[in-house]
Amino acid sequence: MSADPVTMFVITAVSTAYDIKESKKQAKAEAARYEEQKKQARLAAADEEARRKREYYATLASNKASQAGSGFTLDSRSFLNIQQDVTDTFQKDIASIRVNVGSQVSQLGFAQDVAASQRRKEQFGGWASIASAGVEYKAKKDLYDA
Amino acid sequence: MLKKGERRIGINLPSGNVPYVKAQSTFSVVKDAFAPTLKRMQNEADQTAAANYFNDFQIKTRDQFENFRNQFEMDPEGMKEAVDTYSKTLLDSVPAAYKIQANAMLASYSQNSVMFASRNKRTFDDNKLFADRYELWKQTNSEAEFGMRNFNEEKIDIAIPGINKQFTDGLLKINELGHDDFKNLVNTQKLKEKDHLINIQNQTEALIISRGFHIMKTLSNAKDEAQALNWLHNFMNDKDDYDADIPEGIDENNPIIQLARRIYRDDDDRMRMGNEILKKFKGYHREAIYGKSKKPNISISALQEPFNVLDIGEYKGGDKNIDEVLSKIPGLEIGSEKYEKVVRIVNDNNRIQQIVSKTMQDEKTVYDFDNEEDKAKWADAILANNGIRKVQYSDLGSDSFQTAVNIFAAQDYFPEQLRNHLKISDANSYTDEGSLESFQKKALMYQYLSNDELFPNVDYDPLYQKAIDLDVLEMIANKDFSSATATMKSIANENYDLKLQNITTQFADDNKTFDFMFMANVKTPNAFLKFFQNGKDDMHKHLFAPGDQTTWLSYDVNKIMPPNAKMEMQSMFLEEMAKITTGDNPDIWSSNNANLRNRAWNKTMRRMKDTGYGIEINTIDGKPKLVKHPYWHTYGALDDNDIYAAVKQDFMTTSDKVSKYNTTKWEEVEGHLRRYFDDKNDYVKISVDRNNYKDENGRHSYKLSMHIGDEFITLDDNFKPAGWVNLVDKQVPATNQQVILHTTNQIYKNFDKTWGKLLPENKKHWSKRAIYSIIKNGIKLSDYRMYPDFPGVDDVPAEIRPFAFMARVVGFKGDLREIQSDLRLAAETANNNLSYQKKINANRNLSDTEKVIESLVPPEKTVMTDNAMNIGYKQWALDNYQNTELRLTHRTNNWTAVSSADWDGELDVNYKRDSRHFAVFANPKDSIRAAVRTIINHSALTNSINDVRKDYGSEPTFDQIFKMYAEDNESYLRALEKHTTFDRNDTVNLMNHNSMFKLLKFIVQHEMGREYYIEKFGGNNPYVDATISRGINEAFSSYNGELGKL
Repeated sequence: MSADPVTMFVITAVSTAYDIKESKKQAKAEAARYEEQKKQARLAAADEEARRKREYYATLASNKASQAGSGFTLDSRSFLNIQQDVTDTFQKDIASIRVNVGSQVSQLGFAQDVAASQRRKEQFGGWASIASAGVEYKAKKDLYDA
Repeated sequence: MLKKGERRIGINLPSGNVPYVKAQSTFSVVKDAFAPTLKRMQNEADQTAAANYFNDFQIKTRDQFENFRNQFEMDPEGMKEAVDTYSKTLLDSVPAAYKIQANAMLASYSQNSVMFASRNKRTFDDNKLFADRYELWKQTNSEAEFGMRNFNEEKIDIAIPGINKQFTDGLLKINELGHDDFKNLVNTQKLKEKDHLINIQNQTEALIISRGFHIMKTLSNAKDEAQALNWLHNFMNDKDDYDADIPEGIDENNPIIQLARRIYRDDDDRMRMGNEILKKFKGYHREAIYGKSKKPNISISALQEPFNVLDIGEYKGGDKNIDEVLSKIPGLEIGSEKYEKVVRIVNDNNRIQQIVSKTMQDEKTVYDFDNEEDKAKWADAILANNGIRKVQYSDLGSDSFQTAVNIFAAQDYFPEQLRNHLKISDANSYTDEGSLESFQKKALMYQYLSNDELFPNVDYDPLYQKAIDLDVLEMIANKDFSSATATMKSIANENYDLKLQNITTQFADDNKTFDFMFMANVKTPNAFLKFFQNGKDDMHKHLFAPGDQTTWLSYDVNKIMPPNAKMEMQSMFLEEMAKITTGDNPDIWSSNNANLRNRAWNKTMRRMKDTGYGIEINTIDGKPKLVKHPYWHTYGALDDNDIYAAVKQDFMTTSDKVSKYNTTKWEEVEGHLRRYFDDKNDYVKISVDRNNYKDENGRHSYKLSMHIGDEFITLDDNFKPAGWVNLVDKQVPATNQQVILHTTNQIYKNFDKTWGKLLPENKKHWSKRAIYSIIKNGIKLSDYRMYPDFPGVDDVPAEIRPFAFMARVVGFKGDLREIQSDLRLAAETANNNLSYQKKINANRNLSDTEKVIESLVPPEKTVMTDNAMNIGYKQWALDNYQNTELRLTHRTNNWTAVSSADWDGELDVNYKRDSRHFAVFANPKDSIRAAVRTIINHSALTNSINDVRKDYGSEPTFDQIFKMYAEDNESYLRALEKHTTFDRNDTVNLMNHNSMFKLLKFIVQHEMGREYYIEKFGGNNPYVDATISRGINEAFSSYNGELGKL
């Protein structure tokens, strides 16, 4: 094999073309991965909500049982206050979970956009580099033939 | 316990982007991995391209600059303008990347060219200046001499002042010219001051010498030579009897006058000038008395005349010393063309005379001559040795003539001299006494030569035999010239055609007598025995077809010889019969004529053998025919593959295929060939006919024709098989190793031309080296035809198989026969070169040792160095024979330590060692010769040659030889048993070169001291071997073939 300009151009062009193809494949895979991550984040948040909810109900129930055992009346103010506290906290937690998942999903969406844009740049760069290699090797070939 | 609401969940920071990784394909990864290699390759490609460009650039520009250099050789300005314009224009078209380098190159060329032109101009100007100056000086000197010469014939009182006046005028002229030189040349640094002064001194000296010479000449003319010499004597003693006066008006301190005085006063200078004057005077004096001396005119052909120094008859024994010959040719300039010719003739004469000795020593063995020229010279030498310079009838009775003729007969060689002598004119011209007597003498010579012991079967003129049969010789002897003339006329008037016709008619279709004779003569007795001895009647080659050469089948020869050919042979026999009989219708089959028939038979056989008849089976009609030099005599049996290759090649190279082959399709032609290959009796025939000329190798050339029904096609090129061995090529290198390398190179070169394109361009590519080494190893195995041949399998001919193998290696896929001409070239190259080695091995006239030496140092390569070497050896001995740091036998060239006894080649230095006269030789081979002669002289082989005491027979033991040869024979025997595989009781065959070689080599080593010998010459020195071998040969030859004879 000789390293004449035509051969070298073919090697460079083929290699870049394959890189572009690879980049497209990569972009697709990345998008899928981001979607998956968003889904996972949402699922995790739902799980977390559910778990928090179970805990909340358990706390409420446990408090009721304790109250009954200790002689508090059911309409005791303090008891009701405690129960209200539990509910408030619970609600705040649920809100946090929702904020968290929203923020994560939007972050992922943003990253996804950045990655996609990078891949597009990469692909365009590839084509541009093939064109430039063409020009370069043409010049070299002319030089060789001179 | 009540649980309070606690925050469990905090706000999380957004986590984990997918990290960006640059997309890269596998190809790209591989590309990156190979990046250094690619980079290197690219660099190399760039460099190669640049190199190619600049190479091209250089060639183009060089030519242009060369033009400029021719055009503006001495015009620096024109040159500058031309090269600047050219460089600028050229630079515009140079690719940008190369501009810098191109610019540098052009600048350098331009500068060099301009410098070249200016240097030329300067040199030209200077040369002109110097040439003019030289002329001027020369003229001044010549004028002064001319002026002086005018007074030579005058009386002394007029002449001497005249010469002196010319002398002083000359001095003043030198002064003037010297001044000009100083101004124009020394001041401008064109001439060094030192050279300027030397010139003036030389000119002044020359003038003084001229004056002296003319004074002497004048004195010699006016008085006598003694006066002249007296004057010179006084002059050299600083007393010039005719001193020159300083001219009036010239200052005594004039520098030139001062210089002349100084030169004259200086003893050395005066002595030198005095000698020069004397030399000139002597030259004049001799010329006046004897005229000019002439260079001797040497005529080589005169020197070769009988009894002269280069006459071959003077070289009997073949060991004439070249120095001795040269000393007899005075005036022969060493190294001149004539000198070389003389050396060559001497070597040739010695060589031929050595062959004479060999053939005389062993008469029964037919010598294998290299060429016809040698054979003719050999015959001349034999005649010359016997004192015969021109064959004459008077020689007939002499012993020497008979000896010579017997030697010729033993070697089955009828010399041209005899043939020419026996040529006669036709029978009608013998009408007078003189011509009849001359005929009689020649006829007697014929009678002697044609007897059965000598040359019975030579094609003599039939007139001799007829004249003898009709008693013409007796008539001449009885002075009955009229009857003799009448008989001769009747022979001349004989109707040969009628006789032949009658004889042919006599020949019955079923001629039992002829068949019987044929059988009796050609049938091989003890055929079975002969078969195992690989013996064969030499007539078989001429009478039987190539396929019937197997000897043991010839018990029924009638059936073997093809009928057609036999018919032709019969008519040749009848022609011979007609030639030797007389009368119009002789009864050739009568029982009385059995001898005549035998003679005609022998003559027919001789004619067939001499003119190279043989049976050609490849003929137009497929029937075998008797022809001269059939193809198989030259090249062996015709091979189908050779035919295929030749026809294919011709077909492919013929431009007008239709008119020649009637088709453009090779398949059709191939079809015809296949018919022929499958069945030789089918409608296609191949004939091979001999041309009337020989090819470049001196072999008969042949044309191949293909006959298809009535059509026939003759190939354009001469037909020759692949891989035939040429045994006459002598232009081969000297050693086997060289033969191999030379052959490999040749084959590789041809191979590269045809098949090289399939290999990479890189010159050092491994595949090229591999092919080269395959070729080399193939040849090294000495017989590259080692590839087995399987009978019946249609493969390529054996000769080209290794090369066919290579073609396969590099990717040739087609039918190998189609590229046979390429392969054949390779095989032929190998063949031609290897044949020299083969020829040496096959030569039965060389002993084993000689074979080894010959193959290393072929004689034709050493002819000229031989003489140089002789001189070298002689000088060595003269310089060193008393240098005791060297061993005695080494420093004296007397390797065998023989005593002085006026041996051939002995130097006359009278060297005494330990009370004995020790011989000092010009060449060690002379010492070997002396030792061999000593050993042989003491054997029974020389019984009839000399009276030396005989100590042993022709095959003595080492013990016997050393007892005779050395005083201290015990040390010899101990060394023999210690250093060699011989035992003291082993015998040495004195007539065998190999045995003698071993003996002599041992003697040389022993006499020199084994360790010393090995230190100086090494264990196995081919040069020493060659010297010993030559000494032995010369010793054998010196007995002139008489050894062992009673």
